Amino acid sequence: MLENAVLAPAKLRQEAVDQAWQNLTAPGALLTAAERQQVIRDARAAWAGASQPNPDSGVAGEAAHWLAADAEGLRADIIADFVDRGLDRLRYLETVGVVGRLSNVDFYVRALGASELPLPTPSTVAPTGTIDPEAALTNMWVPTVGQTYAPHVVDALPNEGDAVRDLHEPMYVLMTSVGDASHQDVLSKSQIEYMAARTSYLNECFY
Amino acid sequence: MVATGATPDVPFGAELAALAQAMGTCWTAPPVVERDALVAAAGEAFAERAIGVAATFQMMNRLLDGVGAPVHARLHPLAKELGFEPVDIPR
Repeated sequence: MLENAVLAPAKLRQEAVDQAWQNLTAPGALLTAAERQQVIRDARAAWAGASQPNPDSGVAGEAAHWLAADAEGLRADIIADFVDRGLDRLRYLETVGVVGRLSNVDFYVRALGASELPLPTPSTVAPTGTIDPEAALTNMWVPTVGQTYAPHVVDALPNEGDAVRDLHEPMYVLMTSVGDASHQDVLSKSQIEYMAARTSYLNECFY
Repeated sequence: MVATGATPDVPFGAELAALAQAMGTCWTAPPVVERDALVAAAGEAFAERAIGVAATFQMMNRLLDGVGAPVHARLHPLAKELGFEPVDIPR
C-alpha cells in the first residue's frame, strides 16, 4: 500500500497504516468485517460530499456519516436516538473507533498523494465479542474504562483502544512524550502542537 | 494564531499553517500546493511528519466529539483563558 505516494511515508507510519487498514477492514469486537467496511464506505461518501446518510445503511450508516462529516455537531440526544433505533452504545462506540481511525488513515494517505486504500473481500469470521468487564457509562455518551484521557476513550472495546494508540503514537508522539515540551524529532514540539491545535480548531473540537 | 490561521512563530510556520488549513478544509483532493511548498522549504521528511500529525488529529477530534468527551477539569482554566466556557459545550 502507498506505493504510488508522491511523498514517501516514513517506515514507522507506513507500518502503522498497513496494520490499521488490516484491522479496520477485519471483524471487530461487535461488528462483522462487512459491517465495518460499510461504515468505511459511508464515512468516505460523507467526505466525498454526500449531504445526507446512505438510506440503505440504516442507523449505523447515519452514525458513520455524521461522525465523518460533522462529529462536532453530535449531541447526547442524537446518540440516544441512535440507541432507541437499535444501535446500542457499544456498537456505536465501535463505529466511532472505525471512523476515527479511518480519518487518520485516509487523510494521511490523501495528503501524501497516494491512492485511497481499497477494501478487501470481507472476512466471514465472527466478531471477537471482547468488551472490558469494567466498562461503564459515567460522564460520556458511551461506556468507558478508568481514566478517560484522549487516547483511552474507546477502551471499553480493548482492541479498539489499542488500535487507536498504535496509530496515535507513530503519527503524533509516544504517550510518554505527550507532556514533554522539549520533545524534538523531525519537528519540534511547538510545530507538532501547532498542527494539532490548528486541526482541532478547524474541526471545532475543544477537548 | 490558532484561531485566526495567522502564521505561527515557529520555523516554517507559514507553510505549516497552509498545510493544516488545506488538510482541514478540503476532504476530496490532496493538498498538492501546500505540501509541495512545505517540501521545498523544509524537506520531504519534515512535510511527511507534519502530515502525520494533522491526520492523527482528524482521528482524535472525531473520537473525542463522537464519545461526548467533556473538557477535562484540569484544563478549564486554560479553556477560559482561550475565551470559551467549557461547561457550555453541549454534552
